[in-house]
Amino acid sequence: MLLTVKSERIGASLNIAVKGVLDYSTVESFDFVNETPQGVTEFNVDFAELEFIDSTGIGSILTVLHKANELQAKVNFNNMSEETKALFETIGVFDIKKSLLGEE
Amino acid sequence: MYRREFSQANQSVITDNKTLEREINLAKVIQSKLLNGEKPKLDKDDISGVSIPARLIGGDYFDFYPLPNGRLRVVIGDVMGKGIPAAMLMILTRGAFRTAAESTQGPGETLTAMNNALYKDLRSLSSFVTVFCADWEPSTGAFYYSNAGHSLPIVVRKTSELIEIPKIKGVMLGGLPDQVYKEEKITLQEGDFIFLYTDGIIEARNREGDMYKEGRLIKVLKENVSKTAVEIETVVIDSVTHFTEGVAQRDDITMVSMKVGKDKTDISSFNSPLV
Repeated sequence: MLLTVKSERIGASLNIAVKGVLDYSTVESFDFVNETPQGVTEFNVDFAELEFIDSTGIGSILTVLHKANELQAKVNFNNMSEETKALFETIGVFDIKKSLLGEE
Repeated sequence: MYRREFSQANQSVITDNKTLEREINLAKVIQSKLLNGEKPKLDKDDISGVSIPARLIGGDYFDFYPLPNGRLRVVIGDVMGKGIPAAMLMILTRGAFRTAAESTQGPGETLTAMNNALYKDLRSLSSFVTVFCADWEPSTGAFYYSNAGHSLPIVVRKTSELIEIPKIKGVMLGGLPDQVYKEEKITLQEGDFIFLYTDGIIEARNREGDMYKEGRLIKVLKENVSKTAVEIETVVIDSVTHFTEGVAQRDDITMVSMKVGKDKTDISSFNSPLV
């Protein structure tokens, strides 16, 4: 099970598309988020092709939130499945997003 | 000459590997002893817990802590990640729970104290722990609970009826500072079975990549509710093993199960504090 992460910078937006399994074995593909340069004011994370995410994968999503907080950027989660939404809700990802970035 | 140097270097690697293997095995023994210590003996109720790491050691955690007021505090948790790093944080979580359990009134306060103790460390390590904590009060049948990002337990009546318990959510430990964790309460009846678990069960995969899922787990629990807690745990493990068809276990599997007995009486504690 593999993960493909496509990231594209368009102006002040960093678009991240996640395809496959975001778990312990693939999570290093997300490390680039820590190197996001100044000037990025918006992260758009597309979950349309996410097949599975485990706690380590959620850890990498939290990294996006903390990086965005550092850069005073916005984060948009797009095309989330109901399953992923429920998992984020249970673990508290949306609460952290709201607390760090003031966003629902 | 070259061959001799190579041979010495090779020998050194073999020795290092053996040392590492021995230390990992010792770590496994330590973790296993801490997890599988003496279980509390309840006069009428039946309680059990088991943890099966996906690797030699794991990041799942469960524990029991008898309180002076007659309640039994129960906790189950899942540290982000796997293997040795997760196991180290599991030990940290255990220490935080044991300290908090002694000085807090209820499961909500326990989670609040644990988050206060762990937040900075977990944040600096970009990690977190999901934890469900509960107080079982045998004398009244009350089950008080609080949640830090964990899945809720499954409750099945002796008639095999599934009970929806009030939902409660809270941010995982290490997620945000200064969190206050709320509590909910249900009253359990004779024959009720309550099952706490980590996601390694429902996310176990078979050869086709399908997950075991909560539906199968609920079905197994309903079909076997007449059995003892230990027997039900064994059935669940067998069911997951059968489902996965020999596919290697990817995540730690942990469960705590309790069955309410006929009379509600006191805990015969095994390490209750003297306060």
